[in-house]
Amino acid sequence: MLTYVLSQFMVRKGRTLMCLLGVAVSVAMIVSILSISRGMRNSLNSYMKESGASLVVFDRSAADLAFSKVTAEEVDKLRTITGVEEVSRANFTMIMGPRLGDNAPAGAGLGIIPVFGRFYSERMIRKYESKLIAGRLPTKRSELLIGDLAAKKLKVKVGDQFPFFREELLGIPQYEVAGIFETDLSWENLGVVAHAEVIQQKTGPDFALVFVYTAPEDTARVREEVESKMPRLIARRSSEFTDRFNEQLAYIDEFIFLLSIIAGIVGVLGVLNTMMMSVSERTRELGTLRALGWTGRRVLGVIVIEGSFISIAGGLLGIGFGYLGTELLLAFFSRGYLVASYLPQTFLHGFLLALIVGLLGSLYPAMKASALQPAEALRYE
Amino acid sequence: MNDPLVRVSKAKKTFEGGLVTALDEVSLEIEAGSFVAITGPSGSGKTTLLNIVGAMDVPDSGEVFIDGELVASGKELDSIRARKIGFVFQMHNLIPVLTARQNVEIPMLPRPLTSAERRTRALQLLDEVKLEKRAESSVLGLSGGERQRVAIARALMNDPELVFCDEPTGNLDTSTGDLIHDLILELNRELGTGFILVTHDQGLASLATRILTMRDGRFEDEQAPA
Repeated sequence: MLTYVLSQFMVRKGRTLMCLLGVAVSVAMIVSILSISRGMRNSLNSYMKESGASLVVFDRSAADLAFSKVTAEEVDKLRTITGVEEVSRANFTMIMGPRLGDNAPAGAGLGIIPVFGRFYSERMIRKYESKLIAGRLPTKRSELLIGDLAAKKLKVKVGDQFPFFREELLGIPQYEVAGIFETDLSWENLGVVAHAEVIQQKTGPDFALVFVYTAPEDTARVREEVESKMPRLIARRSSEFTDRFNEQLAYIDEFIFLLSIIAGIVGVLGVLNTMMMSVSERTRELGTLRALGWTGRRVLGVIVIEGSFISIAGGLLGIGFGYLGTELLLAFFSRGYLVASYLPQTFLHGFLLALIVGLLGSLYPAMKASALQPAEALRYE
Repeated sequence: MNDPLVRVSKAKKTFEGGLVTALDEVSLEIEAGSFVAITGPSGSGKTTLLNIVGAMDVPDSGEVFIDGELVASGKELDSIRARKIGFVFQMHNLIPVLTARQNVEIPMLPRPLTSAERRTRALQLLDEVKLEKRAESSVLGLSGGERQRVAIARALMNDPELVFCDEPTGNLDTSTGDLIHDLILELNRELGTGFILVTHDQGLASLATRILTMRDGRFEDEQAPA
């Protein structure tokens, strides 16, 4: 049976290959998007977890952290909650890289740079202590901590002074590189840590989020208390940040679901077209098989197996393409802002998509083939 | 006396909404192991009769019994074809990308047999039709006569009681056609397998134990062999 099924692919090599590639491209697209989406989500979780904070507190109604606002009064209230050992305020902005004057090396200072605002006296800055690859932690408002990739991009080293912002903030014309850090997150390595008061000059007095430190046994109670005393805010364990941040990330899943459907429809149409043509061309052959004693159900099974073979092969190829394509995308086009996470369930998602495409795309041609009457099929010209 | 292997009683078959009568209340009995030739001009109803007697179609009215089984529904037709009937077509209808042996094995694929058992049976039949040395050759590399011999081996694969041949030599030159005649006669005599041939070839028809001539959907004449 396998020989017969495989022989059909040999007869129609070109068309089989085209159909297989069609399924592969659909699967590759989904695998790539899912891997990047999961990668971004995981990296955000890792970022929050690495803060060492027990809770992350932010604006409940903000659609994205960029729009989250926690006021100074709310921070003060947080500090008064029993069990809160310490808080670290954080703000965030993104700037166009600075022009470093006439003497700047060619290509320096181009592109977008994320800037993380931290108070140098607060606990959050200490997470970078173990990540330093040069220099020390900053202590003054005019000092910066620069990610390894950002330092390379700006072509600066520890001790260099340069006008990081294009305007003078807090009257500081030049910023000094106090240290260079390297973390596992490429987008963090592309960033710069500046004093939160400097960032406030650009974003206003509010903070995007507040890291809250508690004893482990107090975390649950503090969380409840934060949310009951300040209903405008939401408090989440840092390790569950994105898991509990579904309202803001749900649109990514919806987008992927929609893309899966579109990719699936394209794949089904490809398989359907290939199998319909195959059945039409093989009418006499299928009639012969029926005459030789094959039942309609067996013919149906053969056509479904053929369609599924193409799809499964396309799915496996698509998983490979998806992985390679994502790696190429990250290496050449993402500029370090994107990360991918290759989870087994992502590959399974791609494989199941291919399998469903194969079954749905071959079912109608298979039903048509199984309904052929042998005498009629043998008369077919 | 034993029941006939095939009994057709007043079978009628029309096409195009009854405008064309292909079979007009035909009755026929065929004994096991017999060699019957059906001749007649084009459009006389030969192939329609072959389809009905070969369990590929059912009559509009009348009854068909094969080995005592009333043939009435599609499911029964499938089962009877798989167990009792073999077919040889004018154009051999082999699957071009498979080898001779793989083509012969096709009728047995639905059966719960090991590949070794199928292979042994196919090689045995290819030996019967004197093609054992070409068993692993692609059928594309075989001559017309060799392809028809593969088709005959394939028809015998399920050990049928009857083999239906629709113009088996219609596409072959005279000398190759003669080889096929001899082979069919030999298989009929040695294996005891019944053959029903639809043919215009008088030479082949003259080898049969019964010759039925059709015209306008009826038997015109029945001749005993010369």
